[in-house]
Amino acid sequence: MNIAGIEALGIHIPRWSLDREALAQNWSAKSAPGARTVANFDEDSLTMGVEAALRALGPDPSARDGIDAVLFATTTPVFTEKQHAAVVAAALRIPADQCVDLTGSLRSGLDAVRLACGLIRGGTARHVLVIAADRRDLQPGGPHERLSGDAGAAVVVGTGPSIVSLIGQATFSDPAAGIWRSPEDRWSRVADDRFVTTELLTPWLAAAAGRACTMAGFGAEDLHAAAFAAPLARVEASVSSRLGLTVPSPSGGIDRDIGYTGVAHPFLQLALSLTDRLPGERVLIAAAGDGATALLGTVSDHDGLSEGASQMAAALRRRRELPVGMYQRMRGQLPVEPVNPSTSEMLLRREQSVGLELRGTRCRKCGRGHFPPRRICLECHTVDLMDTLELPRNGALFTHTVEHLFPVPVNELIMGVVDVGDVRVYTQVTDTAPDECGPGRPVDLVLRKLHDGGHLPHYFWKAKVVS
Amino acid sequence: MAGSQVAIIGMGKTAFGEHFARSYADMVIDAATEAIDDAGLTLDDIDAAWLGTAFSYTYSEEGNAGTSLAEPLALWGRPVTRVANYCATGMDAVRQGAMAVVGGFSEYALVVGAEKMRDVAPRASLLGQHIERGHPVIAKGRTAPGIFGLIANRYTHDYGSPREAMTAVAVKNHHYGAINPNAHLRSAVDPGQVERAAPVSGMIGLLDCCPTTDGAAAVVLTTVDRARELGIEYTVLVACELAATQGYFTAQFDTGNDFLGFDSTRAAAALAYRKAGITDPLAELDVVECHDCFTVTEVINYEDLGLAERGAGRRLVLSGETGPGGALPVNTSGGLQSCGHPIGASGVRMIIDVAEQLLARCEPDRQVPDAELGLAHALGGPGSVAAVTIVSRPERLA
Repeated sequence: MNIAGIEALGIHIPRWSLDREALAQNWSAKSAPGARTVANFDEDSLTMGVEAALRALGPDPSARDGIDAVLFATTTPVFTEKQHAAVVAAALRIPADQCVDLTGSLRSGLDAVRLACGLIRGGTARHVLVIAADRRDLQPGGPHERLSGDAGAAVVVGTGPSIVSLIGQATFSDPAAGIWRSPEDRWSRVADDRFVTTELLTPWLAAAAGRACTMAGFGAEDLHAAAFAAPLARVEASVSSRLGLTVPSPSGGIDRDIGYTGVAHPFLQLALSLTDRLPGERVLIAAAGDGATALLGTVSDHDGLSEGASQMAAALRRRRELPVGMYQRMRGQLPVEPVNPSTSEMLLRREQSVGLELRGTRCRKCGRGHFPPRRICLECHTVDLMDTLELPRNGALFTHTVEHLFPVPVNELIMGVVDVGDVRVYTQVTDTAPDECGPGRPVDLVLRKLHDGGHLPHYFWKAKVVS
Repeated sequence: MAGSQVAIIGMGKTAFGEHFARSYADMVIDAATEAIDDAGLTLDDIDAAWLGTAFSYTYSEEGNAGTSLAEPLALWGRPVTRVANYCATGMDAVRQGAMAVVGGFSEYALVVGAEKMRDVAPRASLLGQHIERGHPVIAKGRTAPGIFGLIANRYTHDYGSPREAMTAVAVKNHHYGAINPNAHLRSAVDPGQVERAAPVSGMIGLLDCCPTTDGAAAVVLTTVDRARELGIEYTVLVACELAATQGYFTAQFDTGNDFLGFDSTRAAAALAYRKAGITDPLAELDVVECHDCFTVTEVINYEDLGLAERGAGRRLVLSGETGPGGALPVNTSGGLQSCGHPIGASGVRMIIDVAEQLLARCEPDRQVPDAELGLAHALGGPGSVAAVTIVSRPERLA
C-alpha cells in the first residue's frame, strides 16, 4: 500500500486585521506590536473551513471525485448539536457519506489527518477532505485575545500524488486542565500562563514530536523544518530548545500578522514550512491540546509546494485594518441592533440545492440557465424539462449599492448584482470596501452566514471582490 | 378595459402624514365618505367596493380582506374585496373597480386605498419587513432604497451620474409639496440640503427618499353614460393598465434586467398608450403623476414612460419642462417625495391628483392651465409590476 500524503492544501485568512496595540490601548493595557486576524461578521468556523476547502480543491469540479469522507475539526463549533461536516460537504457539492466532526481539542485538526490516514489504510476512503477552522474568543482585553487569530485550513489526504508523504505520527492525551471552555462560557479560560507553558504545552509537544521521529526512525536532528502549534507565546521556542532543534521555525510571520489560530494553526505552519523545501526533506508539525499530536512528513517533488504559503501571502496583502469598535460589535462585546428574520426549516430543506449548494436549472430544450431554479423556462416556457445547473463560484459585478439602513455589525452593507456564468446572483458583497466595487469587477462567491433567524445559522453565497 | 367608458364621479382623500391620533378605520371612513359626498351619493348607493392595502397584519389593525373596508363603512351584503399588488396596489384596486363598472357588475363602485404605516416606527415599517420577513436567504439585505441604489449606480456607468437630475427632482417635488395642503412634507428644499442629506443607499440620500406616511384616498366610479345623466363634474378613466414582468425575491436575479429602468413600466405604458391612442406622450399629455419613491426613480420613469429617450431623463427635469410653467409638469402634488407613500393609498391619490388638475381644482400655484389629459403611474415591488392610468376631461373624448 502506498503511503498516504497531503495531496492539496488550502488556507483561508480573514481580511480584517486588528492592530494589537490599538486593541490594548482600548483597555489601558500594553501589547507587543503586530496584528491579529479577525473573522468578518459573517464568518464562523464553518464558513472559514469551506473557503479553505474551496482553495484546496481548486476550481476543477473533478477534484471532488473520490473524496469519500469529510472531517471537520474546530474548537469553536457553530452548532453544539448538529454536524458541521455534513453542511460543509453539501456546500462543496461533495457527496461524501462519511462525515465526522472533531471538536473540543486544539489538536483535533492534526488528529483529523491521523484519522484520515486510518480511513485510507483501512480501505474505507480513497481521499479524505480534512478541514480545520477556528474563530476563538478569549477574555476581552486580556493578552490571549490579542495573540489569537482567526483562520481556516483544509487538506486533502490520499495516496495520490502528494505534497508531503506522511511517514510518522504520534499522539497522546492528557486530562490536565490548562485551557478549557464550559458550555455557558463566552470565551475560553486559560490557567496560569507559566504553569500551562512549562508543565503542559512544552512537555506535551516535545513528547509527541520525539515519538513521531522515533517511529519514523529519525532523530530531531534529521528534521529540515519543525513547527509547534500552541496557544501561548514562547512555547515553540522552549520546545525547540528541549528537543535541541536548530532548524528555523516558520512561525514568526504567523505570530506577527495572524496570531494563534486554534485547530487551523498547524496547517498554517505547515504551509510556511513547505516553502523553499527540497524534495526528500523532512518536516514535522505538532499541535498541543489535551496532550499533543505530531505528524512527520517527507517533502515530495510537487509543484504545489508553495501553494499554501502564497495563498497566505495573497490574503495578507489584502489585509484591511479593523477599527476596535467594529471588532467589538462583530464579537458581541458591544451590542448591535437585534434582528430576528423569519425562517422555515421546511423551506430551507426544499431549497438546500439553491442556498447551500448553489445550483440552478438549465432548460433542456433551449439551454436558458436559471438561478434561482425554475420549473418553467423563462425563454421558451417549456414546463418541467430542466437539468441541474451548477453555478461557478465566481463572476463579475454588474451593479452594486452601499446600504446604510440594513442593520449589520460593520459600518455598511454592500449589495451586489453578479453575473455568474449565464445566470445572475443578487447577494451581499463581503470582505470588500466600497471603493473596490464597480461594474465588471471580478468576484468570488463565498459561503457566509446571513443571519441567525429562528436561532438557526442561515448560510448563503456572498460576493467578494478579488483584485 | 374595453366597452363603455368609466367615469370618476367622486374623489376623497385624507391629508397624507403621521396620523397618530387617527386609526386605519378613521382614514378609510374620511376618504370614502368624502368621495361618496363628492359624487352626490350615499353609502347605500355603493353596490361594490375594493380596498387597496398592500400589507396586512403589518402595522396594526389592517386585515387581509375587504372586511377592513366593509366594517368601518357598514357596507354589508355587497361584494367588498381587498387588492394587493405591492406599490401598484391602489391603482390596481381602481382597475378592478373600473373593470366591474365596464362589465356591468357594478353601477357605483367605491375604491379606497389605505395604508397606516406610522402605527409603528419607520424602522419597523417597510424596512422591518425586508429585514425580518420574506424569504430567509434569497435577496436578504435588500431594502427599498437599495433596489434603486443599484439602478443609480448602473445608470452612472452607462449614461453618467444622475445626481444633478435627482437633486432637481427633489427640489421640484418639494416645491410643489410645500404648496399642497395635503402633502406630508410641506417645506421646500434647496440643492445643498438634498446633496448633504444622510446617505441611505449608494447615491440615494435621505432627501431622495419618500417618507413613511399614513393616508387614505377614495374614488367612486360609474359609467360615463351614468355620469352624464347625473349631471355632475367628472373625469374619464381612458385606460388603467397593469403589467407584471418579474418575481418578487428574484427580480434582481433576472438576466434580462438592465438596471436602467423597469420593463413593467414600459409594458404598462405601452398598453395604456395603445388604449388611449397616445403616440407622443410628451406632446399629448398635460400633466403626470409618476412613482417618485426615490428621486432617481422619477428620472428613469421619464424614460420608461416614453417622455424621454433612454439616458435622456436627466435632461428633461434639468430643462425645467417637468416643473412649474414647463411643457409637462410632473408630480404637481409634490409626488411621493412630499406626499409620502402610504402604499395602498398612493395609486388612488395619484389618479385623484391628476383628475383635480383636469378639473382645475388645484391651488393657483400648482394648477396646470388648460390641462385635459393626464397620466398616473405606480411602480410596485422591486420594479416587477407597474400600473399606468390615463385620465381625460370628458369633452376631449367627445
